[in-house]
Amino acid sequence: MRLKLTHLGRIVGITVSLASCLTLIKTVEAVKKEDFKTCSQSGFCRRNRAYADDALAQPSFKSPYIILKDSVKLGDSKVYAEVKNTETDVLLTLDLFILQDNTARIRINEKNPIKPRYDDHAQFTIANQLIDSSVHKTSRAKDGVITILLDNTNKRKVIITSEPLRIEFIVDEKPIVSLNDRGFFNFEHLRTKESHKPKMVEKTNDEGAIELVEAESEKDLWEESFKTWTDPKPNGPESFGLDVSFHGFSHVYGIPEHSSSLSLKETKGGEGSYDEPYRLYNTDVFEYAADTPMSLYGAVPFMVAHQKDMSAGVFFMNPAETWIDIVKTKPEQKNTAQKAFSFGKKVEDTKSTQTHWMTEAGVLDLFVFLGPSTKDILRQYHAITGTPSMPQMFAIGYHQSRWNYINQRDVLEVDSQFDKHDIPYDVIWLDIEYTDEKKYFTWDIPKFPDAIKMEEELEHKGRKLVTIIDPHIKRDDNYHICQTAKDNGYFVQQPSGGDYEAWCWPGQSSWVDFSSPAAREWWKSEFGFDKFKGTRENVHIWNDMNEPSVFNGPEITMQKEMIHYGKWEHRVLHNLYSVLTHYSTAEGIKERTKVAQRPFVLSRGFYAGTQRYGPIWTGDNMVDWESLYYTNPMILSNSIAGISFSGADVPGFFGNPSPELLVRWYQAAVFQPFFRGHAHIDTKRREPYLLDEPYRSITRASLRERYALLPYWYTLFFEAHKTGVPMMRPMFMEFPEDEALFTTEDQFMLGSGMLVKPVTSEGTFAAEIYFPGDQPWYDTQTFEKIQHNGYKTVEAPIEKVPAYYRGGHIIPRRERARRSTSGMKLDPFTLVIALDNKGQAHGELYLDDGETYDFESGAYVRTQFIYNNGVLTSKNLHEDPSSDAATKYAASIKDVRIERIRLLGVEQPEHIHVVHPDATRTPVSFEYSVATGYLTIKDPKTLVSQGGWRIEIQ
Amino acid sequence: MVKSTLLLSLPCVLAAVTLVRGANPSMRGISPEHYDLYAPLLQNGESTWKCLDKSKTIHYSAINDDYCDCPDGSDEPGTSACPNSLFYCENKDHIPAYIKSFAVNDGVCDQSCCDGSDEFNGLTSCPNICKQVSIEFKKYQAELNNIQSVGILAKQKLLDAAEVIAEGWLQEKAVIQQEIDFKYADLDNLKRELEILEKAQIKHTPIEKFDNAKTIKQARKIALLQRHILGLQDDIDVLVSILHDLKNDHNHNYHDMAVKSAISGYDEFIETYEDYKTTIEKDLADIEDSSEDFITDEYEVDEAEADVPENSEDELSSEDVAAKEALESTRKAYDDLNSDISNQEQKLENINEELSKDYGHNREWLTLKDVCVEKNEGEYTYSLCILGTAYQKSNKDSSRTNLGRFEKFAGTVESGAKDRYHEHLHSHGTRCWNGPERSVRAFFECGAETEILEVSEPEKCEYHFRMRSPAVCETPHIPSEDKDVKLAEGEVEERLHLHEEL
Repeated sequence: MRLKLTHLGRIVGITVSLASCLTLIKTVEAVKKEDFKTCSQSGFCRRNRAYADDALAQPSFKSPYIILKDSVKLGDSKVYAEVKNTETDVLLTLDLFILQDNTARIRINEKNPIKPRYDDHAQFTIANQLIDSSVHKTSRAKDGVITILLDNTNKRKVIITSEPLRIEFIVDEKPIVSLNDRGFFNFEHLRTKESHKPKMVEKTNDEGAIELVEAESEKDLWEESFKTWTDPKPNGPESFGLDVSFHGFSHVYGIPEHSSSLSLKETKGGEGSYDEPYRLYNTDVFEYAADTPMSLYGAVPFMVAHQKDMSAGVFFMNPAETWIDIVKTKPEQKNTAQKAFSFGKKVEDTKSTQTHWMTEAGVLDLFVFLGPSTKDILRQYHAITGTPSMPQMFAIGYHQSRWNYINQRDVLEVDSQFDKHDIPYDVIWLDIEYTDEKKYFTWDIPKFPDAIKMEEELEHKGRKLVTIIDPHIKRDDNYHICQTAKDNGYFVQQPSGGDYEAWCWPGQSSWVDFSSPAAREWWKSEFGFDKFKGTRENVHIWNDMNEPSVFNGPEITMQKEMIHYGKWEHRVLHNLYSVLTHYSTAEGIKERTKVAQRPFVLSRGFYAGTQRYGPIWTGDNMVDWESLYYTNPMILSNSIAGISFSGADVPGFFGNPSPELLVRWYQAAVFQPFFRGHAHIDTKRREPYLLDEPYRSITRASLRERYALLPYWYTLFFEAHKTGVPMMRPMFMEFPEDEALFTTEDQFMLGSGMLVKPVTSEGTFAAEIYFPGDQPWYDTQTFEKIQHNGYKTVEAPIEKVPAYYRGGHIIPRRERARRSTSGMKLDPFTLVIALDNKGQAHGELYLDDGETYDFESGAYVRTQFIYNNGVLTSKNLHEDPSSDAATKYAASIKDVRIERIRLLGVEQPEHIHVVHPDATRTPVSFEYSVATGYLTIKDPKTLVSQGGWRIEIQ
Repeated sequence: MVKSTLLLSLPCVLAAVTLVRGANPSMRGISPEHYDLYAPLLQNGESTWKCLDKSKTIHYSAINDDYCDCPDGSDEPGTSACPNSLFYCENKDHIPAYIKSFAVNDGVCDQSCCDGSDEFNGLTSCPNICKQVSIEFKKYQAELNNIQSVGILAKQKLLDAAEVIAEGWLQEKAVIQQEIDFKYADLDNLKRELEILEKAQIKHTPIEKFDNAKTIKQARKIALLQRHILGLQDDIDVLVSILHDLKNDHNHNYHDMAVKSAISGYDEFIETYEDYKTTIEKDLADIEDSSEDFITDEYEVDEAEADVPENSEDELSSEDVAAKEALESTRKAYDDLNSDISNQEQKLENINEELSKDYGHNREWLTLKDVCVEKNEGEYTYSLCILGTAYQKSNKDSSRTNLGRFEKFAGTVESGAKDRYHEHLHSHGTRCWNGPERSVRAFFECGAETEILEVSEPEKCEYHFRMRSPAVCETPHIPSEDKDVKLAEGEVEERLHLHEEL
């Protein structure tokens, strides 16, 4: 099926010229960076950065924060101390909690603030009861140094130094993470403007005389302006900064969302570095640029550091605006023997990474995770913030969206075109135009005269509809949602009182205050079928614009001085707004049916904890090759920060793709968790069936491959739900020892059993892939065995996305062509057994009803497949296999069998027998390809819900 | 929605099949017609079977064993095991149909498989609704037939009227042709007369000076216009700079359509403006160069003007006048006749053009030409004049937007049209902001009246009109008697063709 070379040449030629046009357009239309603040335009960022610069500039600098020795209290698994700023005499409290599983929490607050500092966000972010470590031993030396052992073996400990304050995490006597190592800790206490004594500095004036003037740091304390907006800042300065050093770590990851590299870059200038800190402040950035630390729609203040045999993580729990500077120290010298030893591999010299976190308001509340592996860190992080929810099966199929399918007939026409062209999909989407004048919870009746009937027709084929509901509400007296919210005070308020009003899609709008419990309850109730008319069970929801996006606000968002429930300023909880929207919507969907169905709610904004409510996508990206490239590092960065269910608009939002770009984007998205085709209103239609051949068939094959892999995907989603380990993983997560992979972002692992390297550049029909480890890999399309360690160039014609099964793994698949996931419920399985060098392999299959919460009470099947010494057996991993729920579910899939086994990397067998649970032994037929060492076993008829069988290959 | 679902199923419906009840129940999903293709072969005492593409020989029991053996999917007509096979539904009491393998045992009761035979694994159970479907189908068919027969009558009227028009053209053509022939004879006579008169006329009227004065007058006007142009250009430059600032300084996050529209209009304008400006400047310079010959400044122009004779005719004698008048009247008669002839010729040409113009298979669109129909879609009323212009009129104010003039008949097999006359393309309407020129694709189906059923805008500024008109009605095609089972789906046809070869 490979294209003839002449064709390729032509396609490449055309697309090249197209691309150059697009670049031209892009430079005109791309993001207006001046609409968004730089650090120097943000008062607290500038102050904290200046504080750090001063500290670095003065060799004699010593942090003014000291622990008051008499205040120290050593409790069970916790330490309390008071910290004094010796410059201001302001007292702070320090709480250190040692939690189970190599986790510590550090809180620093004002001891006697003139009013409380915002701390309420923790109730939304911390999902689980925090459990104190049972292993601890605290001691205090004469010099005031406090030592806390984290485990029995003396391997891990925390050391707190008093003067100045310094907290260090030690593993095997080596410092791993330390806080205030560089003395950048700076905590601005609350004060009144009247009591504030400006800091004065000496300055030589024009006449050469020395006079006292207000220090640079006094600027913007009580009011600050950006463009045409002025932030009145009634509370004055209330920020804090802290340096966190990762010793011996050359790479840090996470803190999404940025259109940046997986391994985070340095931020203080120099070649290949940024000039600005990474910023966490949820914003709607129009046509965002690639490769920048600018903030985007989501913010997760969670960073992971990794080195060869060690990982560490910090979670800076705070939803206010946060900036993070990253610098790396000079490499430590490696001895020549070590270098010689690693010949042929890319080996990096070890550096340390130093970070500086600056947050505008609230309380310092920091978690440190000591792993030791990245997977351990994710488990530890998710023990705090909650694991990703288990999606319905349809949610991980293919979604077809567009701004906009224009009416009922259009929706059903697109639906039938998919079937006509044998292309599977599960969900069709409606963007804002389905509403009556952008009034959410209403329909444009002339266009959708009978939405229920439309939904029933979709339901008939097992398909779903997703409609958009945004948090901005049109100001309109005849609009019941607006009226209710207005009457009950559910809108965000202005500081002077009255509803906050500004501009969004409907024109003049107000924003629901999701931090109010009453507003949340009301919002949930609005999703009831009796309330949101025109919806039924197969309708799910999409929350867009929930950063929140405010067209005429500063940085396209809400003014920080606006007032939320409890009189809190928007400033203190900005990044939390999205997660509260997402939560309220998802709960509403869950509560609208008698038997709760797992809700599907897509959000654009996100924060730590979002994973509990549903997927997110990377927003309004461009249709170009660079944006395709960045989908992988962006989704990987999300994954490592707990936002594992994410994806990008396929094949980009703004612009019209060439067929080649479209095909390559679909190929990549097969292996990315959330898979939705979407398009801007000004683009040409581009549903996969509209493509010319061969592109249509190639895209159909991609989508079928996605559906074939759904059992594997679903099993990975379950693993994420249980452990927090993401489905799409950076290479280093699976190969933590291989330093050559620490910056790899253009290839990744899907689970632990598949390696993928999507082609993300134009006219490229070969891929350079790094094959790690000493076990074989198998091409997923040809089953060809690759026994190679290191880089290797493979062919990647247009119809091929380079993807490999990892030797030693068993991948469950369902290979029947279907129109949607609902038709696959009773389909038989295919097992791909990719043997390692010892002829062994293992893998897992998780299965449940794909819709309800019954799996939580045991209605699921979880089977491990083990291949060893030519025998395939299965092991039931169900926690309580004899429970009613388990047996009932097993009965519902009792005839579901394994119809095919593909054994890769095996010698030609003589006989193959199935030994059934009743000990009967029957021969099964098989085919063998000598050229590739690939064996197909035909229909062993073994059941997935029943163990006790074996397949013997002799 | 019975109607539409039935419509969907139509492509899969077999035209005519003689039903032979199959004896072998394992022949699930196979048309009795093709049972013979599934006969076992005896090989070494074993029952075997060859895939229909002959690529493989398999055990006979592997047919419909829910495992895909044949690359062409032919061993699994009755299951979903092969991605590329087709399942035959007998649909007793209705019309047999093929469905794609993905629809077998997928929990969906497919309308086209009304006997429910495609769902047998317990995921769902589908009742046999063929009787019901058949009744509805027949009703629908009758309705269609009704529309069609009314439509065909209406079409006949269109054709009759068109014939009358065409006949009229032919007659007119003959008449005009004859007139032209006569007039050419008259013209020859006049021409001779004129030649005689012209020879007699030898005296010339001195008008050079007069011409010169006229030129000077024009030059003054040109100078004035030059000043106006330069003034306007300054104004345009001011406006351009205003728009330039608007483009650079506006906040694009406001998504203000008016601003976007202004900017895209500006971009378009500025693209051609500089060239245009250069052309104007060049032209102005040219004019100045050529006018320097006779105007150096305004004073001189005034001087020249003073010299213009007030009445030059006074200088002519009365004899001259008579001769001149005779010449002029003959010349006028000659010119008039000449232009009359060319008018007639133009008419003839127009008629010929009309006669050769494409108005459909039998000029069925001719009578409808410039017939306009409207459809109120709430916010807007859409109108379309057949072979003319389409408009979108606001129901709120009186604004009207041109959606495009008729360009061509554009039906293609890909767009689902039976022939090109089933789809009319209207193009080059008013340009959209940030988008293309508006256009309309009007898709016609048979109906008694010409009307717009529905208007949609699947892509920005690309409108689709679903329309009815008797012009596309056709006498129903009587199914052919040949043994080939004709199916609408290309894929199905291909498969069955393969079967026929065996």
